Amino acid sequence: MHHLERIFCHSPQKPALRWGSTVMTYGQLYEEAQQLAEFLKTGSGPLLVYGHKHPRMIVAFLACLLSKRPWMPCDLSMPMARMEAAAAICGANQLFLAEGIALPREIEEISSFSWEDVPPKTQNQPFSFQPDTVAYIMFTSGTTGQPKAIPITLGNLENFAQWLLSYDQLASAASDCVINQASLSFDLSVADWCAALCTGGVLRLTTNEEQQKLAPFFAHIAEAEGCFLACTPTFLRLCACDSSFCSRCLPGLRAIFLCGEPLPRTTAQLVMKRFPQTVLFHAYGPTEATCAVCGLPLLPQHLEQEPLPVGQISSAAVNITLRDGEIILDGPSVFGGYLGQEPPASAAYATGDLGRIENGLLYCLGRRDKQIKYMGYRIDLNEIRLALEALPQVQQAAVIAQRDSHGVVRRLAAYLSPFPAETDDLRRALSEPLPAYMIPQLFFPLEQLPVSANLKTQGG
Amino acid sequence: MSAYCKENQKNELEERIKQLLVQVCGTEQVLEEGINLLDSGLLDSLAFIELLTELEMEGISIQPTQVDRRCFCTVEGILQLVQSQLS
Repeated sequence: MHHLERIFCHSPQKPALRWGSTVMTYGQLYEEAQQLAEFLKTGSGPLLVYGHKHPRMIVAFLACLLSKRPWMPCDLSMPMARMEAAAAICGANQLFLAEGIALPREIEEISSFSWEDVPPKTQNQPFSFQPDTVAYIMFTSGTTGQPKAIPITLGNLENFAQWLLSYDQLASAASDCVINQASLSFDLSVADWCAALCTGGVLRLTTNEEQQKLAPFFAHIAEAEGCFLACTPTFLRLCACDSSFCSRCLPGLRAIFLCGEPLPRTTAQLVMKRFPQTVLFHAYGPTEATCAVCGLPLLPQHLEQEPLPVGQISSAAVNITLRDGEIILDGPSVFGGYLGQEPPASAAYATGDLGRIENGLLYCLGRRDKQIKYMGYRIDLNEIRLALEALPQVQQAAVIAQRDSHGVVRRLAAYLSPFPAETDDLRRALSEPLPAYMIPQLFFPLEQLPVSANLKTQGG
Repeated sequence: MSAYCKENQKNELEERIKQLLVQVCGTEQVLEEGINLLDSGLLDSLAFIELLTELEMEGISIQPTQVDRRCFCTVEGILQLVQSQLS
């Protein structure tokens, strides 16, 4: 984090953020963060930061660091009910409309403000970083139907940043330009803004529209001389569907940081063939241990079998061990327990991920509980079941994940009783409590539930 | 005769695409009259990637950067897109 102050003081003219045609320099970022920090000092508790990829999202994160108030990133796509639940769990009472876009409706006991309400600055806040100050709070799907709040401290974040940038190839690419793909409320995005701000690189915030059309997204990469892309394996697969995603068209793409789910071997082969000089960095880590705890640059010899390794144990950010096949993490990146729950008995975090360690490399083998990984998101199927059963038209529900031949989750299917005539209404009703990636694609009557799935549902 | 052949080819192609959509979306619901494949959530990112990959394997190369995503709302839209790639 001390890097940041150095960059702000010595290179204020350097561009820090780009979003569409908007450019914000490190100097401007610093001034705006200081201005907002002074205002934040007049309040207390976590700050909800509402917006998508606007530069003021990053301004708010830094202002929170300066004013020692944790931030909770809330993407525009986050359902209101989920935001309300999240705010209640962490006792937040204030919300910053970073993008200037108003909430669909007011939230009780939360006052919202936008940039126009922030008074001019009278003084600067000193940089003083205590490792146990909570930097941000992110949310993960919970078994009880309520999301779980994960507080990440500055010490956690610092350890993550040091580990990430200890890979020279990643640090040097990031110091030019970092392309952000993930939503800022998804913890993969921590890798991109951390990498850019700690190395003095430019962070390019891309909009959903740019990503869906791909052409403008590729244009961003093509424009940069050297760049670091952090994305999910699913997004990389989408990019690879286009033949212009190759080193000839995008010579500046120097490093691709992948986390959130295992990368399929075929995609790795294809991308390594298209980009022979680019580092394909395959990483692993739960939100509870700050974005990623281990990783490795993939080499041809790693592609001989599926699944691909997700990291090197010896150079990990934390101590990684296996207990009855479960991956256990212990070290300075690991969080101190969920907010509003009993503190954990041990500092080591049992991930629920099954793993194998072979020749010093870690392999992920799926989950030991009913949670699943879907397009990079960790989802508790029970939360979806409870959301369905809370609807007036449904009495009983079961939710299963359909998988492909490699065991990768392809889609979510819900089995309902009684079975409603209109499933479009269900989708709409579910979008109130659940984010889009948790809404099942398929709906069936409960009696069609496959017997094997039924056994699993009953057996827990 | 040739018009008949063309019609026949089109029907075959249409059948093949319908089959592929059922396969990648995991349900015959995609064939229902008036369904919007994108809005209904049936053709999600993973299904979209699989559809493009399957078409590619059959020699039909659709570049995501070159086409409007809205073409993928309907079976008819996808069919037209595939035909334009073939001609």
